[in-house]
Amino acid sequence: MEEYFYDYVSDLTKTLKQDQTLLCHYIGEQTDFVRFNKGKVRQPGTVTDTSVNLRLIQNKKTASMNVSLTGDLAYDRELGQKALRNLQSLVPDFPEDPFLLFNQEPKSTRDAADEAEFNSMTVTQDIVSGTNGLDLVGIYAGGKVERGFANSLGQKNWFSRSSFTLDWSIYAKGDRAFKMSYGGNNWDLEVFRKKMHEAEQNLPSLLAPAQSVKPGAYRVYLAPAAVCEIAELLAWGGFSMKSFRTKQSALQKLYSDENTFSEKIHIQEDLARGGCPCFDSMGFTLPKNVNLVEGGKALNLLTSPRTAKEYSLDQNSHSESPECLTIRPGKLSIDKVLDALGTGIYVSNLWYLNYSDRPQGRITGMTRFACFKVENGKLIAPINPMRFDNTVYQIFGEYLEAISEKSEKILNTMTYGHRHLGVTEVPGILLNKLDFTL
Amino acid sequence: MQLERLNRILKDHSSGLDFCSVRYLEQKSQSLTVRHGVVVPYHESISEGIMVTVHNHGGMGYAATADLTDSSIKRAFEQAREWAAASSQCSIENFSKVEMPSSKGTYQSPEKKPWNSTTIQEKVEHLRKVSELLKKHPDIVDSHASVSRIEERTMLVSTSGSQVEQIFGFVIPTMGVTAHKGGESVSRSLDGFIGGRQGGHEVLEEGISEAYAHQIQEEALELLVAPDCPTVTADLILDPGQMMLQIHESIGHPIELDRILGDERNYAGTSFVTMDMFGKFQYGSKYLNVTYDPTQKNEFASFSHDDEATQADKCFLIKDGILLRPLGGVISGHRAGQKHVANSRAVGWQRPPIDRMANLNLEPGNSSLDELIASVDSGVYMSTNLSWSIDDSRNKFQFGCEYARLIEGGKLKGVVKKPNYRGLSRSFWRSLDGVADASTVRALGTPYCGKGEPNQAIRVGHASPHCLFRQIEIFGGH
Repeated sequence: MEEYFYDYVSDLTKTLKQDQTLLCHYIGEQTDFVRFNKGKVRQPGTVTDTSVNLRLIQNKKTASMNVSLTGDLAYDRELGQKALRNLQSLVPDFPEDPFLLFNQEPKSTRDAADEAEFNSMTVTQDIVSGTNGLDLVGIYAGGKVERGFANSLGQKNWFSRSSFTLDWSIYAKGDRAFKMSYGGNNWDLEVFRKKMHEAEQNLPSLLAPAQSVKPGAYRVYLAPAAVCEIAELLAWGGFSMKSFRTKQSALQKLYSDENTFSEKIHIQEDLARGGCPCFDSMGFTLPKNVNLVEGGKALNLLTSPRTAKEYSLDQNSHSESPECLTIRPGKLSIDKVLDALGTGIYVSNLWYLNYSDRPQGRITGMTRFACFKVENGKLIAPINPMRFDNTVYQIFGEYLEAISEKSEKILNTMTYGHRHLGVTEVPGILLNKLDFTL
Repeated sequence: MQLERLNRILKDHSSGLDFCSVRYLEQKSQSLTVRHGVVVPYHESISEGIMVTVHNHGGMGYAATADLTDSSIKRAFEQAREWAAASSQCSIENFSKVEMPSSKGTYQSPEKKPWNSTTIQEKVEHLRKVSELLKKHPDIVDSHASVSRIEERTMLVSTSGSQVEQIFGFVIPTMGVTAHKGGESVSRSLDGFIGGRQGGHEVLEEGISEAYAHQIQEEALELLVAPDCPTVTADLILDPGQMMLQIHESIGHPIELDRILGDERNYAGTSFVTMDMFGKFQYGSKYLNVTYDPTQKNEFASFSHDDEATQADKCFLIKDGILLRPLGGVISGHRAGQKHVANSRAVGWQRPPIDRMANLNLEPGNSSLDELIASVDSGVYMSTNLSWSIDDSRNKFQFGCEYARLIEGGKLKGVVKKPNYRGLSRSFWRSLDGVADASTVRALGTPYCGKGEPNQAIRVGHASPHCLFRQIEIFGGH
């Protein structure tokens, strides 16, 4: 598809008028999806979805159109030309866009890792046969994902991966389960078997009668998956320059220097790990690292081209939402987590986080999956789901006691619209207090 | 793509299969926004594709593609067959035993005024004028006036004899402001992102209006200087804008049959509702009557047939507080041994149908809004959803609204900000003590109901009057 896409753009470019520039951003995938429930196959299928966004720019005026790019030359040519003619007729009648910013110094890149060492049908059989009667629920997504950019200035950027993700839970009873994931470009049955074996060994701990936790403040360990949920909520506008400038960021106080996190907290957008394309839809190359929080203090925000133009800043992001967020690990040994927790609650996962007071950075959410009451460093019993309500300044600040020495890479397995890319790498955190409200 | 070709495709490629369907979708969308007086670049999108679904020898499989050439469609059938074969010995259900619908019909969204009765530039100018009103006050630091238009044409044919053709027109007007002063920010909007309806230009005119712009701005400035909502256990009146979210999260999702069957446990969750509750469980007070009604004109998720060709009908899900039936499509209904409804839906051609609520409505009562307010000695009136969080079994929830007013001695009093409330679905609906009459009903809709693996964000509609709940845990900002 790579060369086809470049030829497609080249073809369209020939019909541009002298003062017109065309930017084309391609998103494509061929993905096998297999949905599982109770260790069996619920809904398997294949989706081939490829589309291109055409942006026409003329005298500081712009508009865009998204159309399919099927690989059928006659169809694509007709559709593409029609879309371009449509844009050419519309754009002159729009006002100039004062915040239009696009890259005008072509910089071409290529990052392709297309070797696929997995077969979705084989993986499916491996999963089914590997459940050993356990109640496995989840989703396998495997195949090729592609992103491309090309413009009438000669720039060409390509990113592709053949990869799979398996995101699943092993249910013990009711709403109690261990949640796991595995991904990459090389399916190793032994890796999957090992994870399943580990879950099976630990399942009895979830079968004990669940205990209810009275509302109140508790010592809590948030495992990396739980910390990831908080990070993902903050990614929703928290690190956005536009949100900050319009007084709507959940981290408004942090970036206004009215509050800080613990000095143990270092947060970065880290595209260097290679899970995401390094270019955006306006042709800019994204920086590999953006330090967002250093030593608990706000450092940089994520700025899109549009926001950069509006506020005369440098752009460093596509969407102003981190795609590869990392939080630096600390010193708490994983083997010592329960001892360090002492008596409190071990939280494996959080769920359905939202803001109860966004300007103050106050968030609420639920515990989920495999959360336990811990006494004197020993797991006592699973707990019924509990709601917490605290500010991020409490969670990453005054209540933060320690950070685990190891982080976990948590793949982005979202598939709204298309397979999302990116990975969050975060440690677990020990809090001397978290307020459970219901 | 024409119906004739779709039928030919089905005929050419479905021989020997226990069941096969081909679903086609063409979607065109437009997005127009003016943000704080600046026109955001216009965007249009066209997407077209088919999904082939096969049930064979007990297994099932699907394949979807945007490439509508004969060779690509042939490949899609091969892929769907391969998946059906691969899953025939390990499927959760014997899909060949599911009696798939045999139904024919057509549908077209009603429209009072054609969407194209004004040009794109005229629509942008309309938004720009309203935007100028929204941003007028110096304390308004951000604002937007937007409208999205989506047109869809779908066709479905199947070997069980179904043939359905539907044409939809959706409009989603949104408008909002953020006010800031002295370190405090508040937001106020036109229905959040839930103002979607089927219709034409009239939806834009009714939504993005100068009158609403003035109201939103005034209320935002009121909120800026208002005290926080108090922390009390008190009576609560919710407007239709918040009722929509309440119904959606703590009635709609818990009674989706695929959740009860466990399909969503890795992602969207499960349910506190169990199969033995249907027909007898006291879900709410006697005032709670909830219907499933994709036949409702103009509502966001209206249609004649779902995406597996089950014909849509209105039915009660909860009557006089008693839970009657789940929301499950033909496959879930078969798996659970329950009567199914037309709720097997897919967001597009690229995703397979799963159980999705469509139009879920709370039937109006007999009280006027004034009577409901007059019956509250001490309480809070809340308007327009801002925040939502609920546990994975759909029981423990916490919701926040944009705007609230205290109620004292049966009268509306001062404005309070950051109103939130929390509760348990199992008991919350039993505290329903009054439902306003039809004059207060508003039909709203959101395109952002997320669920499924792979994920799908789909359109849903909810119509509700104002409702009164007794003794709810209410709180504000700290």
